[in-house]
Amino acid sequence: MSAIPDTVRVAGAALRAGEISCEELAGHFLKRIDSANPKLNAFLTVTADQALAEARKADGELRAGHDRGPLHGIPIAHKDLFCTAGVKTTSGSKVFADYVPAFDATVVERLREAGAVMLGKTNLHEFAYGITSNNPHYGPVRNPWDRERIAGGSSGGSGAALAAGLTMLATGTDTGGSIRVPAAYCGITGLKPTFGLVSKYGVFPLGFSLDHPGPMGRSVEDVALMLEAMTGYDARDSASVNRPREGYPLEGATLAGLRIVLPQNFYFDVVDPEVRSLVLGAAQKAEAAGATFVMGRVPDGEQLNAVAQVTLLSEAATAHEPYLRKRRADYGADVLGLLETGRALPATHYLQAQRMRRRILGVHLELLKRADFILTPATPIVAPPIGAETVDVGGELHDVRILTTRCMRGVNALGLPALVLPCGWTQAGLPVALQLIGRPFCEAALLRAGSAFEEAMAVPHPSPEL
Amino acid sequence: MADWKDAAAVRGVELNDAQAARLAALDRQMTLMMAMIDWMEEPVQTFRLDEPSASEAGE
Repeated sequence: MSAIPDTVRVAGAALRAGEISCEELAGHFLKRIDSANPKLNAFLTVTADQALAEARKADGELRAGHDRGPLHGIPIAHKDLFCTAGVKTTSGSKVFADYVPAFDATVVERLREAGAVMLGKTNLHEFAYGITSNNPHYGPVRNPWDRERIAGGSSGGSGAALAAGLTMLATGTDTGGSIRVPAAYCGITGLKPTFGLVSKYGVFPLGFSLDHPGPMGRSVEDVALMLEAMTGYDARDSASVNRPREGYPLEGATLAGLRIVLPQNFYFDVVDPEVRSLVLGAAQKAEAAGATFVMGRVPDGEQLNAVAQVTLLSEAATAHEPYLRKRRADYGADVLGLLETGRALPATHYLQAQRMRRRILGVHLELLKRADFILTPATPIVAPPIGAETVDVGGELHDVRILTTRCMRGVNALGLPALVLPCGWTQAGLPVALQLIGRPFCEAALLRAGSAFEEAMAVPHPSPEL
Repeated sequence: MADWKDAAAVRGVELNDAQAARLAALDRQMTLMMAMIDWMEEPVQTFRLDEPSASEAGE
């Protein structure tokens, strides 16, 4: 086969037609990692021998008629926050620099059972507590579209690896935007599922009521196929929701008949003009394809973000307390600063935030009874330069970290599903993305809407020069 | 700002100006939201003990 397939469906068809083997497919991606990873720092660990052995096993199974489904033989990378049996799992930290778990995270286990072939573990912001992936211990992840810019975080290695064609699928986790930020900054697709839909077991915790593992891919369809393999009740995760597993078919997906809220307040208040124009342009194309847009006010995002920040600062400080006591000197400066800030928050603030969180969720649920989705920019800006602490929007300087998560952080406190997908490119050649927020457990409808958006927008998918 | 630094210092936490300013900003937002609180509502999931099942009780 001359061209290497670039989507799960095309690769699956080629594997089953015998045009390429699982071993050849894995070998192609391992070669890409070998040549491009030194420029991007997307992978921390490459499990080449194990990947080829898994691929050969997958080939044998297909020959024997044992087909595990759409992910059979598909190369995947796991964020180095997911435990992988026998493979180092650093959490992007010095504290766990040499930790080799004896078990797989539930998500890793399920994707392996679905036939996915692990290529390695991806770089991330230290302990997933930040959005730059500028890791003080392992070096920054570089954005494939401009290597002087951040890939976003905390799942930055997964985002960069997908954009650069170093893997077909990747896992991520999202506590305040950590799947969606790198998806937006790298020009790929990422889904933060409803809280409790995907098990957190075997994922190093950051905010136990905010952490969401989820799929990252190069199209909505790839993300849908991956999500299907990741879901299902897990008694080992106390937040796991016991509900029937469902498929996410996209055939016939349409925007016709969908009602989508375009917020009049907050989400478009501080946005780079080029980002605004591309997101609103996507809305116009969706409207032409049959969607109905409703201008509406949403609950104050500043307040919701404050609730999410109080919750995360408190929960992260709690999760890290035992390590902070013993290994304080091994933490990077920015994460240590956040943990110390969390330790200084009074318990009353955390408890009041939980009351407010439910109240604000109730208002969102009422809003989502009258509409299917809320459309927002994913990030108000494009990927900033590595090391930048502030960014100018509309003549005002804003903190990069706070502005990057402005449209996303609150969604974690609500637990609602949110899909981020590319909606265009700036003049400078950087990707811009939109975000669709839906009702709890509406992933099937959300992915169908995302697929229909993809078709209506017809955003070009060039390959970065590396 | 001094209040946040002093309060943290009591607990052995040393805050810089940026950290104290962030906490002060969050505190202001939380205060603004007090009006939306239902004070009769439990703030978090209530601690609860379940009756042991017959098989567990017999162990």
